[in-house]
Amino acid sequence: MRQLFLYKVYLFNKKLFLFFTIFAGFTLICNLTGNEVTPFYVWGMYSENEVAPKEYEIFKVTENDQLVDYSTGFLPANRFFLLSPLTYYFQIKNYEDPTRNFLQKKLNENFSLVEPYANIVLNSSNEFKEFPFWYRRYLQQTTGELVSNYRVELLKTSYDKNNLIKVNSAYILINEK
Amino acid sequence: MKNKFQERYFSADNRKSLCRIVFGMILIHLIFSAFANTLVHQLQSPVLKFAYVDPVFWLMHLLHIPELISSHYYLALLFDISLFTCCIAVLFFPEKKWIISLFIILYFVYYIIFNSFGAHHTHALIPVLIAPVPFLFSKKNFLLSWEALRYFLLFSYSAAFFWKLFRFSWLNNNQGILIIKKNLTPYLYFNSDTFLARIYVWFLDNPGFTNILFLTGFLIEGFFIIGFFTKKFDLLLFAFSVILPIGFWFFADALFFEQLILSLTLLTVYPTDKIEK
Repeated sequence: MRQLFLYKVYLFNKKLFLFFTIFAGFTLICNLTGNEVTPFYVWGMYSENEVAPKEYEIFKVTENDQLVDYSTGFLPANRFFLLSPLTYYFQIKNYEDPTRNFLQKKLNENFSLVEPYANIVLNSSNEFKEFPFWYRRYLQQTTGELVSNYRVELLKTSYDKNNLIKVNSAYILINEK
Repeated sequence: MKNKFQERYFSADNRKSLCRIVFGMILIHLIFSAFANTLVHQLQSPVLKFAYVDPVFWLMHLLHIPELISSHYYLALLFDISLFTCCIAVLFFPEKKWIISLFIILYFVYYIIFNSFGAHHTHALIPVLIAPVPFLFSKKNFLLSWEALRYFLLFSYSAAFFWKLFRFSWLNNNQGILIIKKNLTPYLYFNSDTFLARIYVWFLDNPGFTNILFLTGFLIEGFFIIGFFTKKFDLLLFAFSVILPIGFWFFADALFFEQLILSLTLLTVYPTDKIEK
C-alpha cells in the first residue's frame, strides 16, 4: 500500500491526488466504453481484428499530368494530410457528413437536441464542394509546383497468389483543370 | 526529509535540464511539421473538418477557433511563429511557467486543427501536448506529475495489449500481413521494384513469420503492465518503447516518434521511492 503511487500522491498533495484519480478514472471509463474524449485517450494501436477485404483501394494522384507518388519522398504527416481528408471526402454520399448519419442512428429522435450545434460543427455541402479547390492548394504547397490541372483516381486493387498487386477497376474521383 | 530527497534527485538544475530535453524534442517535432507542410499556415485554409463525437472538438468548432486561425493566412503564420517562439523561449527560460502555459494552450489549438482538418484523430501529437504539463508544477508536485507521466506511458501500451487481447486479434493468423496490406498497398503498388518493396513482399509471402512479429509486439505491450508494480525493468521498458514505434512505422507506416518524449520518464530516478524506504 505504501508503495502505491497514488497513495504517495495522497500523502504529498490531496488536490493532486484528486486530479490524478479523476483523470485515471475518466481514462478507464473511456477505454472500457471505447469512446475517446480528449484528453481521455483510447489506445488501440492496431488492435482491431483485421478481415481481408475483397479489394484494397488506392488513391492515384496526378498533378500537371505527372504522378504524385505520395508513398515515398514525403514525411508521414504530409502523407497523412494528403490522404486522410481525401479518404473522408470519398466516404461522403450526397454531400452528407458521415458523422451526422452516425449521430442520427445513435441518438434517434434525440438528435434534434444537438442538431443546431451539429449544423455548425459538421460539414455542409459547401465544405464538400470547396474540397477539390483546397486539395489543389495543398498539393501546390506540398509539391511546390503551380498546379494547372490535377486528377484523383480511385484504384480498386487486389493481391494475386504471388502477392503482386493488380488493378481491378479505376474511377475518377476528382478531375480539376 | 522530503525536501532533502527532492534537492538530491530533482534539483532546480536537473529540472531545467529535463525541461530543455523535452522542449528540444518538441522543437524537433515542430521542425519536422514544417518540412511535412503541416504547420497551420501551410494547410492552405482547409475546409473539411472532423470533430466526430469528441465534445472538446465540438466546443472548439462551436467557438470557431480552428476555422478562424486556419482560414486567415497571416493569423495562421503568426500562430505558427508564436508556437515556435514559445518552444524556443522555454529552452532559454525553462523556469518561466507562463511561457510553458502559453505553449500548452497554443499546442492544444494546433492539436485540434491538425486532427480535425486531418480528418482523423491521430494519437501522434498527444505526448507533445501532455509532456510539458509537469513543468507547470512546483518542485514537490513536479516530481509526482513527472512520475504520473510514466504511468500514462505504461497505460498507453498496456491498454493496447488489452485491446488486442479482448478483440482476439492475437488469434488472427493473418493479422500481421493484413496490417501491412492495409497500410502499405499504395507503396507496394507505386514502388514495386524497390528493395524495400521486396522486403515487404517477403513478409507477405511468410505470414507465419510476420504474425510472430505481430505477436511479439503484442507481448511486448503486455510487458508494460509490469511497470505498474516495479521500476526494476524500466531500462528494458525504455528499449521496448523505442522498438515499438519503429515496428509501427515499418509495418503500418505510422510514425509517432513523439511517444519517445514520454519514454524519458522511464530513465528517471524517482526520489519518492527512496522516501518510502
